[in-house]
Parts: sequence; C-alpha cells; structure tokens
Amino acid sequence: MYRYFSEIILVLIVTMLYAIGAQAQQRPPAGGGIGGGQGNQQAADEEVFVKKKREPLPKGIFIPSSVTLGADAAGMIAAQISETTQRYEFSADIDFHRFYLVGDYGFGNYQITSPNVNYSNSGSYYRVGIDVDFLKTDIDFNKAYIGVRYAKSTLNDELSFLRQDSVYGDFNYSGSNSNTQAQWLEAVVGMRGKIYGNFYGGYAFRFMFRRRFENIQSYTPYQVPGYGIGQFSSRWVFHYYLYYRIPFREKVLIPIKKK
Amino acid sequence: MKKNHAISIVAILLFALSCETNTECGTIFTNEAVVAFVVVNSQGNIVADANRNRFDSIYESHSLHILYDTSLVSGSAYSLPLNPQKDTSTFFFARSGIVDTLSLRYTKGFRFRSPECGMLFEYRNLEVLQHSFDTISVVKDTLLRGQVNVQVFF
Repeated sequence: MYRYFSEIILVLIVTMLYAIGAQAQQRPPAGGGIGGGQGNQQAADEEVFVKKKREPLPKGIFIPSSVTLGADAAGMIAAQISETTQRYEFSADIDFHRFYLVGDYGFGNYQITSPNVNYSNSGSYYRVGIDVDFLKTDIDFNKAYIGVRYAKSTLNDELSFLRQDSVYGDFNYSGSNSNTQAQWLEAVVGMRGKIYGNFYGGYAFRFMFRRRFENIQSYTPYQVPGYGIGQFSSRWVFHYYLYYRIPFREKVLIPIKKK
Repeated sequence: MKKNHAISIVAILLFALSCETNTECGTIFTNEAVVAFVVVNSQGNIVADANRNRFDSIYESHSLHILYDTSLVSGSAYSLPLNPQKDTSTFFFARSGIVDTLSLRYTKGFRFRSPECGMLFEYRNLEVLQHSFDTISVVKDTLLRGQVNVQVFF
C-alpha cells in the first residue's frame, strides 16, 4: 500500500516542483510590480523589489495582506485509498511581512483488525505556530520557510488482543483510552510555490519532538492523530499541501531604486 | 532548471525515507526471568555453579506446568516465563524430595507495536516476594534478553 501511495505522491510532487520552476522562469527578470506580477511595466523599469539592508522598513509592511487556506493533499488521497487510515487536515496562515501566523486543524481515525489484535482510534488535533519566509521579496508570494509549532491532539482508542501462552493459557485483553491528550512541539521546514492564479502547492518537513501524554487510562496509544505512532517520543514526517491564497490588500514589499 | 532537478531529487529521497516501514519485529524484551544459581569461589568472586544438576524438575504453580524436567535440567541458569495475567509468579524447584519455592512480583506492561509485529510485553520492577533458598538477590529488575535477573546463592 505504501508503495502505490508513494508513487502517486512522487508524481504530484515532481509536477508541483516543475510548476514552481516554470513559474519562476516566466517571471520578469527584475521588478514587475506587486500583487502577483501584474504591476506597471514603467514602474518595473524604475524599481526592483529586492531586499535592502539598513533601510527603514516601509510603513505598513507588517499589515497582513492575505490569508492562505490549505489542505493536506496526501492525507486526502490516502483517506480514499487506505483501508485503515482516514486523515484530513486543513491549514490557514496570515502574513505579517516575512512572518506568518499559522494554524492547522485535522481529524482522523485509524483501524486495524488482525487475527489476534484489534485496534481502533479516532481524534482530532491542532497546531499553532509561526513561520519565517526566506522569499520575502518574491512577487508571486512563493514561500520557503522555517517555523515552529505547538501541537495538541485529543483521541479515543480501543485495543483488544488474544495472547496465546503455552504455559499460562490464552489471555484475552480488552481496554480503552478516553479523552487522552498528546502534546508535542514541531520544527518545520517547507516550501510553497505558485501553481496557477491564486493556487499554490507545497510541502512541509516536520520534526516532531517532546511528545507527552496526559490522561492515559490503559496503555500507550498506538496512533495519535496528527503525530503518528505514539510510542515514539520524536519522529518526522512530510506533508503535502494544496493552498488557495485570498489577498485582501496589496502586499507592501521592500522597494530599492535601480542604480 | 538544474536547481529544480536538485530540489526534486532531495524531496523524492526524503519522501521515500518518510514512507519506510519498520518490518523489524525483534525486541530485547522478554517474558522470561533468568534465575542463575551461583557460588562464591575461593577468591571471593561470584561464579556460576554449573558443576552439577541441582533439580529433578522445575515447574510453575499456576497450572503445575513443568518447565524443566530431569532430561533438561542442566547448567546453572533457568529461564522462567512469568504469568502475563498476574503480577506474581511462583515456581517450584524439586530435588531429592525437597521442593524449594521462588515467588516473583513484577510490573507488567504492553503496547501495540504494529500490525506486522503485534503486541509487545514488558516486565519491570522485578522483586523476590518469597523464597526458600538461603540467599537470593535481584540483579536486573527489567526482563531483557540475555540478562540474568535473579541470583540464587547455594
């Protein structure tokens, strides 16, 4: 299952990355205005929007200009083809110059049935954090970023198993956890590139660490929504997203006069 | 364009790694407590007492299941499976009409490792609850493969 899933995703990511590359090649070499590259050509001849050091930042540069909504594309595809896992995740971010306030919300369930073990799990999670964008002057609002997150998940799960023991006989167990919570921190590195219009694609590499449980009643949950396998105190994953950017004002970039 | 190729290759490699499944189901945990019979030699060192067969049989008290019979009782250390349904297990060591008793108390835990590997059981905080030997000590209170947990001095 993993193999087919990864092949689909690989096609998607390669397509996305070349779309970003093609978009970059179509971009004017210098300037081109703000607001998605639709600016005045004369102004473009006079100004380029690149980073300038030791100059006071333009007024209003920290005023947000857009909200970007996203969905975990890989999770949605997996939910359609997986027999065990359903996972849906949505994200939103708002820009403050090169800084982004980011929030994610997701939910999902997991179920595995085997001859000797049955496990089911359902729950939801959220993440909040901040990204710092290294493409702060990009006129297409592409984003290459690092960030930090705080995440919390709430879950219910059930476990039953049969242990066959030649000395002590068969051992049947059935237990559950209710309203169990997990918290963790994340360091995130990712990219977001324009595909077409206000549609973007991107991925995030997440290193999740300092996982802590609260309110465990029976056993360590096998799966934690938003985190994955619960027995690991740290782990890392890739997430692939599709985004739609909703601009509500012109983004103030840092102009520098051509020499 | 070369830059895009590099980005693609790195992303693909990282993705492939992220989807790698762990199919290694081996574990260092075990459900068997190893009881070693030892003596103190002339130099004052603790050494295994492997020179003679001490017992006719070793069996557990729950179902009187014989763990070692005469043909198998040899050497100086015995692996004794603990009862996963209780917090104590008692074993009988029979020899020449005499039966010694060893009761062990422990904390048991388990977790679901993966659909491929099933359940993992862990036994910790092992202690001797009761015994009829002269001297006994717990040297490792977590049950791990290849480690002696209890030493019995003869």
